[in-house]
Formats: sequence, structure tokens, C-alpha cells
Amino acid sequence: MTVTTGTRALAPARRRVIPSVSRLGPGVFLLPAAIYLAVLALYPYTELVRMSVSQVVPENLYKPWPFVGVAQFRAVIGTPDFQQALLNTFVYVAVVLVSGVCGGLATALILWQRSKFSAFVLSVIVFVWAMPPIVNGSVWRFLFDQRGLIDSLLVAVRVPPVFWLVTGKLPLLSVALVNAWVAVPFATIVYRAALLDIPPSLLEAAAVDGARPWQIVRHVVVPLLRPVMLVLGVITVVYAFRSFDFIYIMTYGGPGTVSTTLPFLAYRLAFQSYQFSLGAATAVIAVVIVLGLALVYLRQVREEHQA
Amino acid sequence: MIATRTSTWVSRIGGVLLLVLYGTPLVWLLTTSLKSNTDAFRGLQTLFVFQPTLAAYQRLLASGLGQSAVNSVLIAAGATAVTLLFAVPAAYALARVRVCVRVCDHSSPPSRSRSKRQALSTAPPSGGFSGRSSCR
Repeated sequence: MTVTTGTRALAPARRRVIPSVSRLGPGVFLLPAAIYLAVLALYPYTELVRMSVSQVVPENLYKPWPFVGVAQFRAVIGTPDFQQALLNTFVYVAVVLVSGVCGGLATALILWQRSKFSAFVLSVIVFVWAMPPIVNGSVWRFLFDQRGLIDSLLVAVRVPPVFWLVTGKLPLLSVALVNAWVAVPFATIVYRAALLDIPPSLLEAAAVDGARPWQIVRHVVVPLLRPVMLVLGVITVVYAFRSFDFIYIMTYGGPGTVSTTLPFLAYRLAFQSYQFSLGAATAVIAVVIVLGLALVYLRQVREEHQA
Repeated sequence: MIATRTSTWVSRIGGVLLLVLYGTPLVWLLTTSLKSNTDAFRGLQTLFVFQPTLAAYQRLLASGLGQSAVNSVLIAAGATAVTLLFAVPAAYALARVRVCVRVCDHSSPPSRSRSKRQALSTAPPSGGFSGRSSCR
């Protein structure tokens, strides 16, 4: 068979396929993903909600669950552990959000210039971002250790050691900072794309008008980056809110409950003390909070677009 | 590019700071893999000066690194395959449906015939928030 006959044979088939697909609509191609998500995302969520309004203990895990209404929510909200975890979560998210969004902007501005040096620095921080959280978490656990690099550096310059993962409220802050350390490279990549999108003529016009570099950043670059900042804010909040791996590796929520956030509390309740329903209720509350935050931010983004 | 010339030193110092902040843990990770257990817990003392050893790598190879590597490859390949399999058709569909969403947008009333044809040929428009945000 020659090539020409091959293409001739294909042509009518193609003509037949395209109308039939357009009659069904491209929505058909959405179906596999929709089914996949329904089975592997939606169904588990409905089970989670069902678990949070039932009485589930190890004995009846594989039997019908008795319905108890909002009793689990009432029980878990009343515990000091929950209140502490809620507060911890907001502190954690705030630290990651502020240092991620601001640090990312600073980093993107620092690396804005095209040079071999900034390309190298960018590749290092992107490499860090691509590393598994378990590696990053473990490295920082050792660096923050009382026999680790940072405290021994402090001792060497005659400063008392800090004991980052032990002292007072510091463990929560330390873990949040490590999480921000990983969030910054991502923010940098996003900002960098937006920075490269700014027409150079705008910056040149500002410079010709006598604006100093920081004035250009303050009055030209930052306003142009506002929409990106808002979207990045949403992503960072969601990312920080659901953070689990760094807490698990670095402090395991401790000492005590000092660095326990809502997702980690849910994990502890469900899989350490086998209070499945309390854990599910905590998880549902976490999901509702993160949805609420995301909606507030998205509404702002939309208003920004319409203005 | 006018703005950048005066801020070269900011860029240099900032770059060095970033390199310290992001490079130190990487260097530490690499050097610790070449240290003995006692050297690994000596902090600053053994940051650069230590007795290098490949003992950790030897123990790792002897303790089933191969199986873990195979598992990693399987998970990476499987996740990539499944994601592409479901996401590529979905992306195509969403890219086509967006046309309809834009037509249905309240801010830009379309011609009647066009919106009718689009509504017929695509999945039901996702109204409300997500739809509008996707057409700006």
C-alpha cells in the first residue's frame, strides 16, 4: 500500500468523525475526568461529611453508622485542642501567606535582571521547590536541631542557642517559615512570568519622567502585579492551610499541641486516637474555612477585573 | 532596562542572600550524606571539615534501594499517565466550552443566532461565578 492511498482512505473517515463529535459536543471529552473526580474526590467527601454527622468508632467502622447530627461538631469545637489548633492554623497561614507573597515578590525583583548569576540563583531555588517535602522537612529539622547548624552557629558567635523546635511558640513559627521557604520559589516563578509580561516601554517612560527604581517598583510594577498577587494569595492560603507534611516531619504537631494545625489535629483524632467522627468533623470545618477564604479572595479578584 | 542598571547592587546582594538561604540546606544535605553518624550531629564543627565516607550509600544500597526506586518510577509514570489520560480530553472540552460561557456572559450580549448554535453544540453553560471569571 502506498502513502497516497492511505491518506485517501483517511479523508472520508475524518469527515464522518468531526460532525458526530460536534453533535455530541466537546462536553463528551469532559466525561472521563468528571467520572474520575466523582468516584475519587466527590464520593470520599460525601463519606467524610456523613462520618462527621455520625457516631463512628473502630467497632462499627464497617457497619451502619448511627446518625447523631451536629453532636460531633459541638464536641470537637469545645475542646481546648481544637481551639489551639484553629489559632495555630491562622498563625501558620498568615506567616506563609505574608512571607510567601512578599518574599516571592522581592525574590522575583532581585532576579528580574537577565544575567547568568540570576539564572543560576533561580535554578537553585526552583530546585529546592521541586524537592520532596519530606527531604526539605528533614533537612530543616536537622538544621533547627539543638545540635544542628543554626544553633551551633549561634553558640559560635556567643549567642545563647534558640532551640527552634522546642522553645515556647517557636516550633509553629519555625515550621511555617520552612513552609514559606518552599512557597517563595513558586511565587517567584509566578511573579517572574508577570514581570516579563510588563512592556519595557512603560518602565522606560517612568524612568524618563524621573522615577527612581524603587518608585518604578512602587508605582508601576506593583499596581500591574496586583491581579497576580491576589490569585497567588488564594493559592498560597489554600496551600498553607492544608499543610501536613512539614508539620508531620519536623515536629509531629508538638511539643504537646504547640504546632498542631487543623488538618494535623484531624489526622491525630482519626488515626491516632481512632475518634473517626471527631476527626471527620475537624476536617469538614477545615474544608469549610478554606472554601470561605478562597471565595472571599476570588470575589475580590473578580471585582478587580471588572473595575 | 534603564531601571535595572542602578539597582545592580541590590540584585547582586539579594542574589547572594538567596543563594545562602537556599544553597546552605542543599550543601548540608549533600555533605551529611558523606558523613559518619557522629559527624552528622556536630553542627558547625563539621560543616566543611569532616572525614568523608560512603558508608551511608553502601548501607542504603544493601537495604533495598532498588525496590524503592522502582516504586518511585512506577508512581511517577502512573500518575503522569492517568493525569494526561483524563486531563487532556477535559482541557480540550473546557477550551471549547469556554466559547459558550463567553457568549452567555451578561456583560457582552451576543447575537441571538450565535448563542443558540453554541448552546446546542456544547455542554450546558456553567453559569454564575466560575463561568464569568473564566472569560474575564
